Amino acid sequence: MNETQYRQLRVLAIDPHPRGFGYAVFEGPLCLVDWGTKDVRQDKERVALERIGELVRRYLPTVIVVEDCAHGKSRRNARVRQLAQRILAVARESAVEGRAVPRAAVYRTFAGAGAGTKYGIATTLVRAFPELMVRLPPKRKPWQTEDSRMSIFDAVALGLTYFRRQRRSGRPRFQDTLPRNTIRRA
Amino acid sequence: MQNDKLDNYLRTYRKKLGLTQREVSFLLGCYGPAKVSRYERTGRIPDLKTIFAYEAIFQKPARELFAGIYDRAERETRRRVRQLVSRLRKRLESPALARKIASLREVAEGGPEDLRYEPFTNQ
Repeated sequence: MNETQYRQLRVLAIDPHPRGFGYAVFEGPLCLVDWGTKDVRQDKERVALERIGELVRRYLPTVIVVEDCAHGKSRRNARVRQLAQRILAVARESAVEGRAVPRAAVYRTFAGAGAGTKYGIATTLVRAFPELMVRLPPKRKPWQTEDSRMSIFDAVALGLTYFRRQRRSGRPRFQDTLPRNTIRRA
Repeated sequence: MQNDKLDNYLRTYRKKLGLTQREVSFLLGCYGPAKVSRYERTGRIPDLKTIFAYEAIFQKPARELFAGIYDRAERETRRRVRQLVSRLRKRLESPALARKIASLREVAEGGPEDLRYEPFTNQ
């Protein structure tokens, strides 16, 4: 992948959570095209996949990035794990590359910026993308459940981690080396 | 592998300004947010007056707001310019014709440096 391709690569990062999912669309690591949350109340998996399908049709991403829930330290519940797998299947059906990024890689990416917690990562992201400021929830108290808006920041962090790993590895992307629709862990 | 631009980036710029569709519809002089939603989902291309209103709101040129449409129009126009040049070259040579062909070639190659399109960036 040359520099121009890297800077124009359209990535859809999705962070599923128990009440829906957060998403972020990038065109290169510096350009955040769209972001938000989708709330899903009933028939969660089917509706979530429909909405993800809409995003894929609208933005025609080259890559879909989700969290690698099979990674050792992942604490995602069974339904979210299954949804993450189904998202990768949607990617396959749409002839889009699917990538799973482990949470540990996200923390490693932001460790250099001094962000060791989810909220720390979110505030770091607000510095990089000030337009996200209005979506930053107040810091969670230990007895509170997580605000669903945090999934936007998780999705943005996943997307940026994917870009960073692409840049660092310098290896050719799957289209150049593997048959189409192959899913590899990032 | 290189992505084509999206048809428009209206939603991106609206969100960057922190505006709602209802607020943009007010700024555009529309009656409700439905039309703004259709513009953003590329179901409908706005008229020229609305495009200029968008330019004024987002402080960005139309070719950046509608980057995908602009890219396609530019590509198709350049292709037609090349066709026209090849047709003109079959005619008898004259200084006026040579000047016209030289101008058209400049257009086909992207025009003078200061008129070239700067691609959309977040910077």
